[in-house]
Amino acid sequence: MAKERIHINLVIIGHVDSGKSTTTGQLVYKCGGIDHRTIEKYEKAATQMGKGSFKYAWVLDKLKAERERGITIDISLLKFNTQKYTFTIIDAPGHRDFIKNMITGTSQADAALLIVSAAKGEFEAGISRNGQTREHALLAYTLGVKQLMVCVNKMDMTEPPFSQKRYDEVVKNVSVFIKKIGFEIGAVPFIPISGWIGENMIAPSQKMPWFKGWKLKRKEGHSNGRTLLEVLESLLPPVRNAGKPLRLPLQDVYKIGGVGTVPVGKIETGILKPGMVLTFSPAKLTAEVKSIEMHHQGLQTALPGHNVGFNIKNVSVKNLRRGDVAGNAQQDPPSDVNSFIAQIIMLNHPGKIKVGRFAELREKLDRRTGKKLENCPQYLMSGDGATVKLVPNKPLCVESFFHYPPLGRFAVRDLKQTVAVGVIKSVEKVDQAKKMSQKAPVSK
Amino acid sequence: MSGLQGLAQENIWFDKSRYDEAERCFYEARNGIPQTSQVKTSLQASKGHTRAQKPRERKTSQNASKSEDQSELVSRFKSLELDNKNLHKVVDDLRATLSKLESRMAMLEKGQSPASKSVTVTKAAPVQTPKVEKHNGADDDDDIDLFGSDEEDEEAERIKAERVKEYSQRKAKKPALIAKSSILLDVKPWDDETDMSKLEECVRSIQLDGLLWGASKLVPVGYGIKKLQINCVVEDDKVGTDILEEEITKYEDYVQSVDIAAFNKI
Repeated sequence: MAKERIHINLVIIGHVDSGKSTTTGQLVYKCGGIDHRTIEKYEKAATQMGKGSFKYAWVLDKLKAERERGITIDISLLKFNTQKYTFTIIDAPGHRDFIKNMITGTSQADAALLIVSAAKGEFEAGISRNGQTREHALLAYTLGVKQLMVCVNKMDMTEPPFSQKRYDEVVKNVSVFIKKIGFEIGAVPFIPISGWIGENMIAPSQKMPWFKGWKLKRKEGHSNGRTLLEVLESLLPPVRNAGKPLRLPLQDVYKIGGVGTVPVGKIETGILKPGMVLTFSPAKLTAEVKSIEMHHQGLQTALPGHNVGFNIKNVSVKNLRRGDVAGNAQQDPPSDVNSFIAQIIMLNHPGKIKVGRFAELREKLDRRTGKKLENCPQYLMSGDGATVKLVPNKPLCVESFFHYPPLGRFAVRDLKQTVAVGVIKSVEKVDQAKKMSQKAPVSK
Repeated sequence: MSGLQGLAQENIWFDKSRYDEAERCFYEARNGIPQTSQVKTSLQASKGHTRAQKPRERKTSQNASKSEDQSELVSRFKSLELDNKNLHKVVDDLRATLSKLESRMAMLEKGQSPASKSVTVTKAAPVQTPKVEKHNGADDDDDIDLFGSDEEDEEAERIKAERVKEYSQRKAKKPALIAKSSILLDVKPWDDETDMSKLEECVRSIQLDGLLWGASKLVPVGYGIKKLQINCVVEDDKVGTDILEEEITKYEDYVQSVDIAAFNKI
């Protein structure tokens, strides 16, 4: 690796049988990730066993078996490189807790790749009303993943193979569906591929001469190409919010002998430097940063995305805790909130949700267009979008999604289920120390 | 006496059934009902139990009138339809058996060549099915509409439903895969003096149905603190992240917090 590539988190969504694992496997296999010795070892074994022609699938199977045993934590299995970028793949599982993790977890997706199967029946099932595909795509959109790509997979399994008619049919259907969610169709490239045999993945396919290439219209500029790799290469680099005021949510606070108090967390926006005076919220403390370390190495400037530990003066470990947010005391310091207004989407809530769970139900919205449907609705149900007011029952520091995206989204959990997801529209910060308490199961 | 003589010579009553028959033929001919149908109905009537006919109808069919003949036809239709349904059932059963065999074969083949797997095998079978189902779908009321009627027209909906049906059939054939996820956890200690090997021991002592602990390593954080990064494989339906977190943080002497570093499908 000669130069530093920009890092992109790519979430892969699609129905169980869309072939997404095969497709990502193909990318990782061809573009880096798996180290060459491992591949060579397996390829050799495959040839010896007479699996020469299926060696790719065979190697993938082996790697999958390896992962199932959990014996490798090498995340490189899910990494690959293009000219400009290093991709880390998040292969979205069907696990019910994944959604919560996608919202509150540490690694956020920068772009989403939707894979649908063109094979007869599989496409129809994959995109059906109760499908996970819908939920994941909707979620990606709600959480601000605006760059979406669509692969129409399994083109080798259409009837007849590589059928343009079938491709057009699938594209038409998917377009309607993602448009309903809210994506701008012009900015969503479609590519017919076969992850299995690798058509249109790395190199243009000879088997689909009718495919004239994908097009992409963004306000940042147009682009076009023929392969999936080219699409990935054309992605806009994620905006790292170094110019914004500092926000650093704490994950842990350590007490180190001879050093003192060391909070650790990931910088979401802004920069952190030794000597800076920080405000912690809702702890309401200020302290000066003495030094910063990352992976046991001292840092003079820490940037967004960095997971850092820093040493502060005159603050006891007891006064800080996980969930506190650090910010620059001189530049828009963080503050806890009295209440906040959020736009939410109800996911799988059994029955109706009424006022009382949320402090106020303000408006019911069409979750696709965001248009108001109803003022002060009596209740909400699964699938509804709404603007609601929430009042935290203990001090909490959150921000509006617009200003500090990572601090502006949340999941509503009830009985170990994610019943709603939301983004914060506006916050009402605490000026004095008066607080209200209200029942609202918010986890962030 | 002479009157009695006359009666004695009159033999019409001995052949009463013949005359009755002749009379009936006459009237039937007059009403334009072909002779043959009468023969058929009586034939059918005698055939008995296998057909779904009510005994009363059988009796009355002997002195057939026009209206009764029609009801006869209706019942015949019914019985034919029943037969047809039974045949369909048999065909379905056969198809099911076939698919079972095929999935077995696929499994056997898989043992040898995981590469070619079910793709080719599963593809072959359901090609024929849609046509048969089309007929079924047309006159069966209990055909379930999976989607409800949306803005799209019925025809498109039906085709869609068919394809999904077919897909789920094919799907049922495949050996059921247990959905699993790979979760990478960061387990953080309290300070630089926490015994990390003891911490790891605690974590690994957690046993849950559907949970498998994998590889682990210590990752430097800063100021001498290391966190434990440990991989685990969970069955999606059995193990949630909440329970994992709960169980790990129970060891509060060692564990400050748990975070999910990566969450992927296997």
